[in-house]
Amino acid sequence: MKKSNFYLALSLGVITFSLVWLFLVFYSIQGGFGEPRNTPRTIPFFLGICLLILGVIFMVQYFLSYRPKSQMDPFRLVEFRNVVICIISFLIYSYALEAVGFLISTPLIIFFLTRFILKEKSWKLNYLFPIVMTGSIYIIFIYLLQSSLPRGTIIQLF
Amino acid sequence: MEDVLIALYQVLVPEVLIAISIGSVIGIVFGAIPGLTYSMALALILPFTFVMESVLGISLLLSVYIGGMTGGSVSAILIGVPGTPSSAATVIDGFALAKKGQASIALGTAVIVSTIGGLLSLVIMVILVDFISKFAIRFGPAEIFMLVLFGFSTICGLSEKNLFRSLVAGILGLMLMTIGLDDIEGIQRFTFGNVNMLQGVNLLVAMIGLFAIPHILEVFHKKMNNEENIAYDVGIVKTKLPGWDILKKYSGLMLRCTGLGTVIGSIPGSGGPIAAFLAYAHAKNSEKDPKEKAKYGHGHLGGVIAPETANNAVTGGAMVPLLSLGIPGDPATAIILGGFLIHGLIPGPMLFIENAPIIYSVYFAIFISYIAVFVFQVFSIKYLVKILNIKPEHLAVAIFIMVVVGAFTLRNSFFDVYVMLIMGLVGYFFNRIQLPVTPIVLGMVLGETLESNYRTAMFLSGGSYKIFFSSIACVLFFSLILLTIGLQIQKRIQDVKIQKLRKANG
Repeated sequence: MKKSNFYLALSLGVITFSLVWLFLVFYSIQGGFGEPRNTPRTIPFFLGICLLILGVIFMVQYFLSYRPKSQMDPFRLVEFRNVVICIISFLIYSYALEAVGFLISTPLIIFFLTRFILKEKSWKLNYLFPIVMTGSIYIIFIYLLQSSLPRGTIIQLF
Repeated sequence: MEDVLIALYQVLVPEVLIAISIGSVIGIVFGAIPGLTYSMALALILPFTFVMESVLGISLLLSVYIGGMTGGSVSAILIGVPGTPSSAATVIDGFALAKKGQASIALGTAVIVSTIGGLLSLVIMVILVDFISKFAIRFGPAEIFMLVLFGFSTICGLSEKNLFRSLVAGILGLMLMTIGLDDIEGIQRFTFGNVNMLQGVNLLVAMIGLFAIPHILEVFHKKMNNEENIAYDVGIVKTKLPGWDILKKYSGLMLRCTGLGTVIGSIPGSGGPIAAFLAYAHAKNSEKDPKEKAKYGHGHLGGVIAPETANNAVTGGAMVPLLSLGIPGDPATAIILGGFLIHGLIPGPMLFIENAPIIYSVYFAIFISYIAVFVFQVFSIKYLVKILNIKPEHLAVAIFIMVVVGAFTLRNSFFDVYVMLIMGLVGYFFNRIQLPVTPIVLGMVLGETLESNYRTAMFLSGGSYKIFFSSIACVLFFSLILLTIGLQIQKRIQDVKIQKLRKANG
């Protein structure tokens, strides 16, 4: 992304976000008692205004061609795809953790990540690492810290 | 005296000593591996401390912090890549010494001066914390509001290159803290009818996401894109401690750099990198012998001593505003503050009255941590550096499992896991568009104090803003805020002038 486009995108993003925020301040927070300068809306409103001002400053920077110290790599489709794949894998793990518990979901996700995302060919990494990692965390949390790990809602039915 | 003895008794138990040892090793390892940070290590360790006793948990966090600060020098010297931003200045002469075959003495010197700098700053910290907390005990809500506002202005102004972008991030952090139930009237804000949202965005969950997930995504993306994540093979490494003559020769420099590091560390938002580079510049400029001065940048021991003393002295300095005022100076102390909060301890002047042994335990834990880090760095460095051989993507998988489990165990809530992932995605996006994430964390840490004190002060004054200028402390903090903003504007103007000059010169 060119420097100038970056500042335009940043300013538009910040302004849009602050306007949505200010809309929500008035439509999703009930007005409380007390002075008008001292309600549950006061600080969120003030923050929204500050952000709006900053968005305007970025816009001014864009139009005045003053764009300090910004040189970022452009977003590429492949990066977007990779990040989305990772996030979906993480979400699947979180759902699996909730449904079938730590002991089943963790070795499976580690196997999936090492074998299919990282494309590791070593059997130690693909099979031993998931078991050792899962076992270590289980021992640390359950026996050493006496904490709890997700047991899985489906597993608990049986 | 009784409180000191209680604290000593609490710290000198095997569990705490073992925790400090483990924490020191984790800190050194995370500090030494480029790409991993001790802030990330602290965020990962934090959920473990949830089930621990307060002294045990806080000691573990402190030892990770100290180990991380010291460990950064290992990779800086051995491979020329700073393990932490604080050790970036050490690369200049440390790596040059390693290339000359003097890595062992550079490592040994870094270890011993780090310990000396850290311990001396601990002494200064004890004196300053006591003094400031006695002063701060008289603060009312208006003073605290102005103080937090000042802290916020310094953090956003000093910590990052671009003031406005830092401010955007800081304000987003403050915004996140307004989600959930309003503290004073119990009114729902931005909850959209979701019961889970009532408790708001958990600070610790957000920190885990912001620090760990972007790194994991970055490493995975590189690997998926067939780019090589670098693992380092450093061969056989030893630590050789410098002789008494060297320490005596540089004792003045060490003392000055300790003072510099402690003062800079105590200013919220400044931290290790600034202290280290200033100390390096000071060491070079204060060298009177032209021949010696010319050696800086090409492998001079003073170039290792100055930054390493200063960046470790920052740890003591950074604890001053944290313990005396409850204001963290950097992400690491923000996470340590989180450690205090999950044990129901609120740092600030009241902690000295309500829980003095905890404060003394912190002092002892820092002392023991420095000793532990010293011992591990001297005697087991050759084993610890082996971790540099591990491929980053394999570490990333392990870290991912740890962060998910850690986020869950904080409150046994899957909602927190999803929040952590969302915050991680935000962190990644921010990194990519060069918006700093540190002000988000600091905004979240300071947000609650800022709002609750603003609202209490406004209740007390009947809605008049005059209360914020009603005492000397308020006016002082307000003047400091104006000064900070003024300095930033001056810097911006200078930047514009420099840019115009560069353009004019082609």
